[in-house]
Amino acid sequence: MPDTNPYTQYNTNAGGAMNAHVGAYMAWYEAAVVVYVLAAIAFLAYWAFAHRAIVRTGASLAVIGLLCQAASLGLRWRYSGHVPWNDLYGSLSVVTFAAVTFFLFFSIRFGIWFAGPLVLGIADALLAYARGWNKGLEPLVPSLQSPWILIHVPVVLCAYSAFLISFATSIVYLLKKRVEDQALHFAGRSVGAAVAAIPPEAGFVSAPYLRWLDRVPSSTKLDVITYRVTAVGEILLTVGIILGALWAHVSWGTYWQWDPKEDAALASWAVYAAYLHLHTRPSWRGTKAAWVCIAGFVSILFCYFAVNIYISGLHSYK
Amino acid sequence: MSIAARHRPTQPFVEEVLKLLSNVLFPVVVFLIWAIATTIGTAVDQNQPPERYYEEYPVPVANLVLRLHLTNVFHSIPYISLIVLLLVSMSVCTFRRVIPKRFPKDRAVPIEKFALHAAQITAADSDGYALAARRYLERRGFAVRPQRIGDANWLFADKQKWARYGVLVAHLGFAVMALGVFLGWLAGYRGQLQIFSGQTVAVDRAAVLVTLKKFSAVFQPVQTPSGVTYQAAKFQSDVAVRDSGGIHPESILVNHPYLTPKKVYFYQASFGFAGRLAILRNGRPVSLPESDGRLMPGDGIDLPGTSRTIEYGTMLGPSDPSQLPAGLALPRRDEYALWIFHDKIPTTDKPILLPIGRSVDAGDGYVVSALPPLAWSGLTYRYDPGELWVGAGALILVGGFIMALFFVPVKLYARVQATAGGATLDLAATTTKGNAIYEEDFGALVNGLRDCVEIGGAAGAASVEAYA
Ligand code: HEM
Repeated sequence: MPDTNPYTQYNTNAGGAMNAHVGAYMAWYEAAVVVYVLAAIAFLAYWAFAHRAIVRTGASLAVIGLLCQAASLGLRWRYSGHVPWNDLYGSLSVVTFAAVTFFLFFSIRFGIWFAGPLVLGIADALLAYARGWNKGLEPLVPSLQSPWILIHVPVVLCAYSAFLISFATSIVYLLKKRVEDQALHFAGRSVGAAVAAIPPEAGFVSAPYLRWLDRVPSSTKLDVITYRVTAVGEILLTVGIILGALWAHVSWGTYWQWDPKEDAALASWAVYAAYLHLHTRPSWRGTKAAWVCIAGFVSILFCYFAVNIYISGLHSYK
Repeated sequence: MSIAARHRPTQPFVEEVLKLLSNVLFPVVVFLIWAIATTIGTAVDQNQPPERYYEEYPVPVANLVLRLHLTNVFHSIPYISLIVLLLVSMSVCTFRRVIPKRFPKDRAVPIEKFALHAAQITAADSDGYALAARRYLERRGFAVRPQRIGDANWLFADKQKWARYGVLVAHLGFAVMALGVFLGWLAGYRGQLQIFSGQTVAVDRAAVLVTLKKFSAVFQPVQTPSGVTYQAAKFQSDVAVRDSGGIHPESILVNHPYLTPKKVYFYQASFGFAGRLAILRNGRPVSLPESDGRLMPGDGIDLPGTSRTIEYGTMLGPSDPSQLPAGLALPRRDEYALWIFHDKIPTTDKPILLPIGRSVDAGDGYVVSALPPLAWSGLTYRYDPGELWVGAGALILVGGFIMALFFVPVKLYARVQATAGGATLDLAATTTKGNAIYEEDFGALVNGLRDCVEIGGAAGAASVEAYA
C-alpha cells in the first residue's frame, strides 16, 4: 500500500504544456464552429436561390468543418492518450461530426440538402454549447479504461446524429405537407374571393418565406426518407444499447442496472420502436408518424442533456 | 353438452384478444406508454426514503410521487406488465401475422389495379421482348420465373425476398436473449466479497478461496479552475485464488475481471481503507476483545472504565485522495479523522486529524495512536450460464433488424402481350413497406426495361405510358 503518493507533487510545468495542448485542439474546434455557421448560412441561401453552386459551397464548407473537427478530435486524442469522447464536450463534438457526415451522406443519397439550415444550425449550436463542458486533458477514470469505450459510445452518439437528421426531415415534412394540403384546398375551390388572389396556372402560391418548399420532394418522399434515416438511427441505438449492456456485464457484472442513462436510452428506443411499427400502417404514415419522430428526438434530448447534466448515476461523465 | 360446445362461447372473446394483440397499433401504444413510464422512472430518483422526496419537490408533487408509487417504477407490477404485454403481443404477432404471411403467389393478376404499375409499347415481338425483359431483371438482381398464361408471357420476379423474415429473425433474437437472461436467473448466482489485505475468503459456490495480497489505488492530480483534484486512474486487487487446480496469483482491475476455470467472474467493484488504532492506558496496551482492530466509518470504541468513546470517521491522505473535501490541500501522510466523545458529547468542535504514527491524548489516562490503515477490496462475483445465449440473441436481433429495416422485399409482375405491330409490357410491383419507398427504383426499372429492348436492337422507340 502506498504510504506516499507518487503524484502528490503536482507538476506545474506539466500543467503549462497541457494548457498549450488544450489551446491547440480548441483552436481547431473554434474554426469548426465558425465554418459550420457559414455552411448553415449557405444552405439558408439555398432556400432563397435555387443554384447548384450554393449547395456546392455549403457542402464544401461542411466538409471543411469536418476536417477542422477531425483535427481537433485527433489532437485531443493524441495529447490525452485516450478517446476524446470521455466528457460532454467530447461527446457533443462527436455528435456534431457524425450529424454533418450523415447529412452529407443522406443528402447525396436522398437529396435532402434543403434540410441543411436545420441540421447544420442545430449541430453547430450543440458544438458551440460543448465549449462549457470541456474538461481538458484529464486522464480516463478506471471505469472507462476498456476497449468497449471505442465502440459503445460512438455508436450511441451516431444514433443520436441520425435522429437529429430525421427530426429535421420530419419538420420539413410537416411544413411541406401543410403547403400541399393548402394547395389541394385551394385547387378544390371553384369560385370565391380567394380565386382572384391565386394565379390560375399555379393554383396556389405559398408564403414567400416558404417558397423553397416548392423545390422540396413531395411529402410522401419525405416520409420515406425520414423512415430510412430513423431506421438507421434505431439500429445504431439498438446496437449501442446492447454494446452498453455487454460492457456493463464485463465491467459491473450485470447487464442492466436501471441507471438513469440506460433507462432514458431505453425510453428513446421505445419511442422510435413505436414509430417504426406505426409506419407499417399506411394510414398512420406521414403526419402522425412525423410527430412521433419529433417526440423521439425530444426524448433523445432528455436522455442526452437532462440525464447527463441533472440526474446523477453511473453514467455521469460530463 | 359436449366439451367443444361448452368452450365455444369463449372463442370469439379469445379471438378478439388475439386480434387485438396482433394489431400493430397495440405495440405502438404499449411502446409509448412504456417510454413515458421509463422517462418518469429516470426523472424521479428511485427508491429513496419518503423524506427525500419532500426535500426535493414541492409538497403536492412529493405527495403525488409517493401516492402513485413513482418511487419504484422499474420493479413495479404495472411496469413489468408492460414488458410482458410487449413480449406477448410480439409472440402473438409472430404466430398470427409474421409466419403465416406468404410471399404473393405467381399468378395472373390485374396489373392496372396495383398502385405501382406502368405499361410500355414496343415494336419488338412479344417473345423477344419477354426474353430481353427477363435478362434485364436478372441483371438487376431479380429471381425471375417466366410462365405462359393464356396468350401472354408472364414474368414473376422477386428480389430480397428473404428480407421478409427480418421481423421474424429479430423477434427470434429477442426470444433467445430472453432465454439467456432466464438461464442466468435460473442457474446463475452472484455475490459480493469484502476482503481486507491479507485476509482469505472462501467462495463456496465457486469452489475457490480468495486471498487479498495487496490492493492498490492510483490517483492523478488534475488541475481544475477550483484547484487540484485527484482523479482515480487505477484500482487493482492482487489476489491469490486457490481452487482444485492449485493457487494462482491474479490481478483484478476495473474492466478486467478474473475468470475462474469454472466460468465464475470476479470484478473489482469497490475499495476502501479501514483505520487501525493502538490504545494505551497509563502506558500499557489495552486490548479490546469485541473489536477486530479494523475501523470502518462510523465505528466506535468505548474506552473501558470511562464514559469516553472514540468514533472513527474516515481516512484522508495520499492513499485515498478521493475522500478529500474539495479545496483542501492533500496531507502529506495518511491521517484519520476521529471524534472523541465524553458522556456522548464531542470533546472538539471539529474532527481530530490524527496522522499515521502520531498519538492523541483521549483523557482518563488513555492515549490513542494511529497505526497504518488496512486496505480492503470489494469484489463482485458472478456466474451466468446464459451469457452466450444473450450475446447470440443480441446478434440475431440486430441481424433481423438490419434485414427488416434496410432491405425492401419486392415482387414484380410483368405481362408481355403481342399487340398489333409489336408488344406491350405491363409491369406492377408490390413491397411490404408501402409503395412510396419503391417509387424511385420502380421508375428506374421501367426506364431500364424500355432501354433494354432499344439497346437489344428491337425496332421502334418504346414509350412509358403511365407510372403511378
Ligand atoms: C446497459 C448498459 C448501457 C446502456 C444502455 C448505455 C447507454 C448509453 C447511452 C445511451 C449513451 C449515450 C451518450 C450520452 O447520452 O451521453 C452512453 C454513453 C456512454 N456510456 Fe453507456 N450505456 C451502458 C453501459 C455503459 C457502461 C458499462 C459504460 C462504462 C463503464 C458506459 C460508458 C459510457 C460512456 C463513457 C459514455 C459517453 C458519455 C459521454 O461522453 O457523455 N456505458 N451510454
